[in-house]
Amino acid sequence: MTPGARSVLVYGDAQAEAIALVLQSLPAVAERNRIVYVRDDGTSDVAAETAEACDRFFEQRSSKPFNPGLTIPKKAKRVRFPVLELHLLWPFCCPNPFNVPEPPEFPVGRFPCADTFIINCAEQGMPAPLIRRRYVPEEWPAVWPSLDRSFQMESARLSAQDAQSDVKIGSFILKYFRKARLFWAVNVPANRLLAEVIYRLIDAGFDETERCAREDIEAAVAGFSPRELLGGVSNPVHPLVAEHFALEWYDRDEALACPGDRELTFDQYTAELIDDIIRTRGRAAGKTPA
Amino acid sequence: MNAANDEIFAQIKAIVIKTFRLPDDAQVGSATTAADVEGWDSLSHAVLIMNVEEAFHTDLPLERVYAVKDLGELANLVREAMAASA
Repeated sequence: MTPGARSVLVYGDAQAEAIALVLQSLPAVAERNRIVYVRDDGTSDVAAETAEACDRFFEQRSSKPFNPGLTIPKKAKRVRFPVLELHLLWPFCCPNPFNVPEPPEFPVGRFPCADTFIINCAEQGMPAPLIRRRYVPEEWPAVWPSLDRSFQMESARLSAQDAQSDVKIGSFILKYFRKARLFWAVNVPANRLLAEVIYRLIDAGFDETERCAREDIEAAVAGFSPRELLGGVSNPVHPLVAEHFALEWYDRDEALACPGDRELTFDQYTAELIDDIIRTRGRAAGKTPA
Repeated sequence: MNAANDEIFAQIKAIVIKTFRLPDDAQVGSATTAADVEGWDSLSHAVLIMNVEEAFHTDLPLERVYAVKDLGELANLVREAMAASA
């Protein structure tokens, strides 16, 4: 780092942390900037002087207010970037109300994300084989949420998000989500998307001499892990959703990383999720599952 | 709020309770915002809107659904959409 390096604060969730890590690893950026990550949960131990010395503030657009106690100087250049999420490919995805941590194997639980259809079936007392059959019918049932309407909703959401961000990514997501895997789960962006956001963030936040080639950023993102940088947890896409949106990269039999260092295909994941919801729902209700 | 709006709001309240798995006696009013309900983020907002559209058999204007500040505004949006399609 050169003497007199600028101080750059990157504020936000785990996605922002990953972005800060990549920025720190890019020589063209790191030589002239001291990149500091600030968690958005209020537990960051960043010193007040560090915030006060901030020259550039990269703020992930979020509903959470910036950490109380830290002040960003008015002269600092502020660049807002979006949270990366896509609901479109997981229309039934919801937080799992029955999920509980099971350390050490499952510190965040077996299935942090669940599925409203499966939960509703389990709550009606359906047995697992019947839920499995109903979950994968031959065609998308008319009574299920409209995927076309869902696409319109997601387009509106991304557009609204872009309107409040300096780094705009909604159009890119909608243009490429069929051609390339951009997300592993609703809130888990793939390397390809992370690299694109970082490219655009650098473009918006740094000088021309600090810009990086896309391939250098992609290499930096890929350099952190043999898996994807944020690819620890995946939710397989429903085959009828993949068919509807003509996802070119989709493979129903691809084994994907799941909590507990497991790798499960769509069918394995679905079967395990159904069994788990029946089991944990019964436990939550104080009943012994059949 | 007139009787028709009362009815619309009562239905929206029931949808909110079901969508976010709240207890039946949850304090949900016209001033309730996303910040007041655990799990109500931009993604579940889309699910909520689709549930509302299905219940009222109407499409809400997408350029406005992400700008509603509270459930009272959502009820107004539903009322406007229903009036426009009547």
